[in-house]
Amino acid sequence: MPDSAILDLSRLREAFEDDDAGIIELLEMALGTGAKHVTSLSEALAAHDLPGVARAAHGIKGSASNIGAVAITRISAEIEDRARTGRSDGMSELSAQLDAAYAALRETVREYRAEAL
Amino acid sequence: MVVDDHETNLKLYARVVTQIPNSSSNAFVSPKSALRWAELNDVALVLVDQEMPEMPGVDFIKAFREIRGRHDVPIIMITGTADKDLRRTAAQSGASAFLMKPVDPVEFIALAQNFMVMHNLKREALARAESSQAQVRMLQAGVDAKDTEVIETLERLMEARDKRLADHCKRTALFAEAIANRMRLSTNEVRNISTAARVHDVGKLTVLDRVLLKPARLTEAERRAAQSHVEAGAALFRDRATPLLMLAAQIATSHHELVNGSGYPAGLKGDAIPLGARIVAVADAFAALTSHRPYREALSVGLALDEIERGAGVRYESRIVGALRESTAEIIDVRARYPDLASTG
Repeated sequence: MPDSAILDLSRLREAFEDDDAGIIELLEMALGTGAKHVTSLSEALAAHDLPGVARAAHGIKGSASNIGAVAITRISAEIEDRARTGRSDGMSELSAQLDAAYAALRETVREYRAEAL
Repeated sequence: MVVDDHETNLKLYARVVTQIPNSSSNAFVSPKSALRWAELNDVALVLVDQEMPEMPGVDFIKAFREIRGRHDVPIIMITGTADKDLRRTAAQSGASAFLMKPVDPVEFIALAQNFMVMHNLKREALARAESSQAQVRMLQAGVDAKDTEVIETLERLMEARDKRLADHCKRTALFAEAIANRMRLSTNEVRNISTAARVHDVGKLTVLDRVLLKPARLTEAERRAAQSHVEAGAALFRDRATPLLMLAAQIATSHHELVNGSGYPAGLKGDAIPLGARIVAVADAFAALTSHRPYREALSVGLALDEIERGAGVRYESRIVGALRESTAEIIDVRARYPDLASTG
């Protein structure tokens, strides 16, 4: 079973009626599109474009929360909140945490695939 | 229909929709493509994300509601925040309900199912109402056709018995139609008045020719006999409960009533005389004045109009007399189509 601090599968199980293959396909897709959104976020951070950072983080948060990517949801919510309130401090740490959370999710999904299929 | 610029969300929502019985989803990453699709395809439910770079969800909803036949399709908006102002704006633009991310599949399915059931019930009720309206229209058309047949049969009877009487009724009906049109009555009212007027004098078939054609002053008994044609005509339509035949009875009864109360049979005044009868009174008098009668020659259109105008506000309603004067072109056309037998022969 995946680590519930990284990935909470309860909603996806309801949505996919316990179809592991379907869930894994969706999670892998989320990892692919997530990488694109993280790139947008990094670009906005580099350009000190706080509204852009907030938008990108908001998008990541929405998708991540839908798939139950708990850690990514929490970190992207923190980034969005800081960007919206004009605080740029600690952004590079949070960005690194986000990368780590994605790496952890990727690993969790890989394990899940190995176990389930 | 599912609209979200994030493919992962789209795939997830589309998968949840498959749990709703008898439903399938069409997924769009581009709100603009979704709108184009909705113009050509029926949509039972819309699920749309608020945050889309191409077009915010609120704008999508506004544009979707503009599409013909899509004003009442349920729309569920998915938001990433609990922003009250945003929800208020979205609701005003036509959003039916909101779901917050993360979307709970059970909550979503329950909401979507309820909306779809409600939407389908509404559609079915509308379809049933339309079909019963169509049935009522068909039945009404059948009744109208039967009533018109009754009137045509009486007309044929007049034709067979007294051609001059039949022609007088036709001319009167056409003058009444011209007047009613000029008064801007509804198409239905004009048609009914004109049709009913075609038999306004049918009761004259019960009056002896020696009275109707007498070239001298009538005795009191003869006058009463001549005037009895109004009741005799109305008696033919007594107890008929359809609009056209009830109007025919009113017109047959009251077309000799005069607005100052000096007419017959009841001596009704002004608005107490039914409108159809007030119009036919003017059309009838004008038709009579412009026809040859055993006791006088036909008057010209101009002289007859002058004569009628002298009675405006006294014998006839001024507004109706005015409408007759304005219908001179139609009057001349009617007289050309139905010339008075005596004046042509």
